[in-house]
Order: sequence, then structure tokens, then C-alpha cells
Amino acid sequence: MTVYFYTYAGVVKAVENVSFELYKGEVLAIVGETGSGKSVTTRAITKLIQPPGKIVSGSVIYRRDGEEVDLLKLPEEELRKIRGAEIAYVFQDPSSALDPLYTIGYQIAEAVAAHRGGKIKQYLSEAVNLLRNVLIPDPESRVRAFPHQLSGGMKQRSVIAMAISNRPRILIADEPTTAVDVTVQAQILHLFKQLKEQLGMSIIFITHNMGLVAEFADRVIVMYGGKIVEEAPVMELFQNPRHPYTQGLLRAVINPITPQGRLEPVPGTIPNLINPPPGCRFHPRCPYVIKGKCEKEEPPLGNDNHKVACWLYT
Amino acid sequence: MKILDKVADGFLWVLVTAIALVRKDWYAKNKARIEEWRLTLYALNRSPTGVVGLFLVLGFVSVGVAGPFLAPYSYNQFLYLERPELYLVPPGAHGMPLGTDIYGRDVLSLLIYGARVSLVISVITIALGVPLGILLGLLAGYYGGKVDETIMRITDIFLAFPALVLALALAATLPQRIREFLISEPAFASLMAAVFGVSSEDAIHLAPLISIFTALIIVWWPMYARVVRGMVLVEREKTYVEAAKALGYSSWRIMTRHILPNVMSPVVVLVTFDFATVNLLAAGLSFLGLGAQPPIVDWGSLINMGGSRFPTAWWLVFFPGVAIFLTALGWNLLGDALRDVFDPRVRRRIEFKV
Repeated sequence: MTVYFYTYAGVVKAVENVSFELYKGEVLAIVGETGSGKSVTTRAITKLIQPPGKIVSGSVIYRRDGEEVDLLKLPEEELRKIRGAEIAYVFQDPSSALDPLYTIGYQIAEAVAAHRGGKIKQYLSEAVNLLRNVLIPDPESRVRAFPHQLSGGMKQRSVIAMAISNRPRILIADEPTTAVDVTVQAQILHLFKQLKEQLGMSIIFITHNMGLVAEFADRVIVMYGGKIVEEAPVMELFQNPRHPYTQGLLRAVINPITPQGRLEPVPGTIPNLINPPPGCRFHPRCPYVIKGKCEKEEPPLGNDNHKVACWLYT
Repeated sequence: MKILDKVADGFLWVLVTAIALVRKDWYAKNKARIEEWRLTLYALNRSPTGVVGLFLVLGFVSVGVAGPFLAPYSYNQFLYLERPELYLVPPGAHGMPLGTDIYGRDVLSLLIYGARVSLVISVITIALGVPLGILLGLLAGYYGGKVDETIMRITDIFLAFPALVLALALAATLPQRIREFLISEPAFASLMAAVFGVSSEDAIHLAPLISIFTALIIVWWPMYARVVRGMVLVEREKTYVEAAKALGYSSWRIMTRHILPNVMSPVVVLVTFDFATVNLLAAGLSFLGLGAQPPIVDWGSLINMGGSRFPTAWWLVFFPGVAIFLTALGWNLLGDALRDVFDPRVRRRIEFKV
């Protein structure tokens, strides 16, 4: 899949030739710096890319009940039935993901009504159950609360309640814990685990937080500059990070598996994706750069269990 | 202050009971909302200018609605024909409180009929022009790109052209065709006569008035399209809109149920100001002779009639002028107060006093 943004400054190559698979019932974590294309990739799955962004090429093969559909080729009408019902999103900032003018009960009921038809009001009792499901205390009175009357953690739970209201098969959580504090993070993560067991969904989990990845994910994709640079099962990645960027990332956070001394930042900043560096996009920041190779040719992403796009391993 | 709050309570009580009659469990479910309304009214009561504006506007609206039934004489009672002494009587003489015009008609009654004409023109202009502007602004802001460019460039053309001049041109060219239309559609003609509070024989003379509000509708929407588009551009970038898309809602639903309510309160304030502006513009067009044709009068045409006999027949200019002034003042004061009440930051400050 390739997504470009056509801006006045030039074409931003936000996501280029990204390809991955998501299996039933697994948690796939996508990590990477700000601007590495994580969010764009997941939004492109249901064509939620706004102009000036454009999905240039690619396909999203979605298997359900034995049939295969390419979501990017579906008409808007069909896609809308899938959004929210089969593939649901939880966004980063819970305080702006809710419409300030309606009660959360109304908004949850609206999400249900949008896919099952009928009046919004008849689903209000279901909204109470959903709020109870996401462990909101006293859901009977909270359904009548407006977003500004709730704390950040409760808002995020309400957003999650909206997302799971139609029992989606895939839940895409875009940094769901970034805007809430650490104790709430732990609770929300726990909640995700529970819901996954209950509903048997697959989860795509976007985060900066390596700790959460180790805690929660089954497989990890590391993105850099709009490309996948490494993909591996979670234990494998933490024990044996192969791409220099992944190694840098793990040195920059407290590694939950191998204790270490000082934290080291990855030197430099993310490249400008209007004119990405030729060859391997990480080479200007890479400590192991091979002269005459990395800046000329693009490394392929392997094909085995632990994929890595780096010339050091070929 | 206490009395005003009591009035507000009483008004809310009437409103709530009326709704409760139709929908049984409405009251229990919307308690919080009713409290909110009560607070809004109390906050409005704390602004003296707002109260003055509210009274002026209420006075204008009730005279406009009930006027033709209250007026002591009809607009087409030419008393001069039977009593020649009633030609241009100054206020107070011959039992005419505000004097008479050149046909011996009672100026007070003419003012009351004029209020109806003003009210109808402003209500129709706003009721048709504003939704049109809001709709186009929503579409332009939400879809962006080519839709936006097309709609906004057309809006720019309208905005660049002076509204009064365009309205003048339209008001001067439309009446002939509208007159033909009124003749061919008697049902529409009598409806219009009822709305403007004139007898149906005079319906044919309504053509210029109809062309005035048609012209005003045509020049009125662009401002709203622009204002709404600007606010929609801000709202549509918010995450709740993206979340709504991710939940699979249709564009129409997102626009009308989620974006529109979030941009409405500035529009409400703009509308109150615009009642004043429409009134002034309509009176202006009438004054220029493009509005009400005899025997139908409105405030503008009264001033026009008095203008050539000023200052001898000063009452023909003075009283309609005062009426126009008070109405415009009332809407402006009310709009000012509403802006404060709807602005959450200012409102917080007012609420402390409640």
C-alpha cells in the first residue's frame, strides 16, 4: 500500500510499499516515531484518508466468512457498513473524539443505531451495558453525562465502548493510552485484553510506548519514514532486535526484558518525506551505515518469521 | 430583576407544560436541559440592554402578528373622501392620535399595518436565505476541494457586488413578472394577501413587496455561506468528526447531526442582527419607491410620502422613522446580549451574578 499527501510544498510520501498481515485474534503492535506513517497506514485500511492525502496504490484484502474483499475497491456505501461495525477505531485524544454537544449514552446509542437501524433511543439501555462492559462505575447515571463532565480515562473508555458497540472483528487503537496517565494506561490495557478475550477480535495497536508493546502485543511492526523496517514476534524483537533503528528505539526506552544503564536517544530527526533520503531511509542516522551501499539501494524486507529491511543482514 | 426572573419561570413553565402535553415523559428526561434554558433566560435578564432589546423586539413582533386586527382603521379607509377636513391632520387633532396622511388615513393604523409588512419581509428573507447559506456553507466546508471552490467563488461574486445595488436592480425588474404570476395563480395571491394582512383585492399590489424579499433572499445567503464554511473548516478537523467517519456514519449525518449543532450559536446571533439589517434595507428600498405601492403601505413608503411634504407634515416622517429606529435598535440590543449569553467565556462571568 502506498499513500501520498499532495501538499503545496510537494508530494509527501507518507507511506510507501507497506504490506502486512493481521491474523484472527492477534494483537499487532505498530511502533515508530511521530510521522513514520503509523496512523496513516491504519486509516488507509478503511479509506479514511482525507484530501490532500490519496491512496496511490495497494489493496486491503479482508477475509470474512470465507469470502475475500478488497476494501479499497468497495464503493463508499459498502465501506461505510464495514467501518464501525466490523473494523472500529479508537483514537488518540479521547477529549476531542466525542461530540461535545451530546451525552455519551446518546453517542454510543447512535453508533449502534447507525449499523442496526432503528431509533437511537431504543439502544440507550444497550449503551448502559456497553459502559458497564468497559468498567465505568455507575453506568446508569453516566449515560446521561456530557463529555466535559467525565475524566480523561472515562472518556477514553466511552470511546472504546463506542468502538466495540457493534462487536467489530478488528479494533484499530491509535495511541489509545497516550493522552491518559499511567495508572489509567494500565487499566485501559487490561480492558483491551479482556475485551479481546470476550469478543475474539484482532487488534492493531499503535503506540510509542515499548513497555506497552512488550506487555500486550503478539507481533510487532516497526515503521520508519513511511516504510516497515522490521517485523517480528514480540519476544523475538525485544531479545534480538536486528534493524539499527529498532536497536536505537529499544536503547531509548527502559527495556523491560534486558535491564540497562543510560537511555540513549536515536540521533537526528525523522526525514522529510517530501524528499526522502535515497536508498535506505534510515541511512543518514544509522551508526552502521555501509558506504556506497545504503545510500544507493533500498534494502528488501525479508520474508521469514523475523523480517528486517537492512543491508547488514543480506 | 426578581420580577423578570418570575416572568422567565412562568414562560418556561408554560413551554414545558405545553411540550409535556404532547410528549409524556419529556419533562423527566430533559430536566437538565430545562435548567439550562432557565439559566440562559436568567443570564439574559442580567443584561439591561438585552431586556430592553427583548421588549422592543417582542413589541414589534406582537404588533406585527396581531396588528391588522388591532388597528383602529384599515389601511384602505380613505377617510378624506367622506370627511375632507381629515386631509393631513397633525397628531392629536380630530381624534387622530398620530395624525393622518394625504388620503386622510390614520397614521397609527398605517404604522401598525407597516409593522406586519416589515415582520413578514424579514421573517421570509431570513427563513429562506439563512438556511440556504448554511447549507451551502456546510457543503463547501465539509467537502472542500472543487465543491468548496465552486460554491465560495460564486459567494465571492455576490459579496463583491453591493447587496443594496443588486437588491435595487432585482426589485426594479422583478415586479412585472411577479404581477403576472399573481394574476395567473389566485390561490398564491390570496395566501400572500393573508400573510401581509391586506385584503385580497389588493393582492396584485403586493408584487413589489414580493420582489423585495425575493431580491433580499438572493443577496442574503452569501454572508451565511461564508461564516458557516469558516466554522465548518475548524470543526471538521476535530477528532470527533473523524471518529464519526470511522464509525461509518454518512456524510449527511455527520454534517447535520454533528457539525451543524456545533457551529449554530454564532449563526443565531448573526440572525438577530440581520433582522435589523433586513428591516432597514427593506425600508430603504420602499423609501426609494420600489417597495409597497399604494394603497399598501410600509414604513419606508410612508417616509417617502412624507418626504415631499416635510417639514409641514413632519408626523409622516417622524413616526415611521421612530418605528424603524426602535425595531432596529431592539434587534441589535438583543443580538448583543445573546452573543454574550452564548459565548461560554462571557457567560461564566454572567452566571456568577445569577
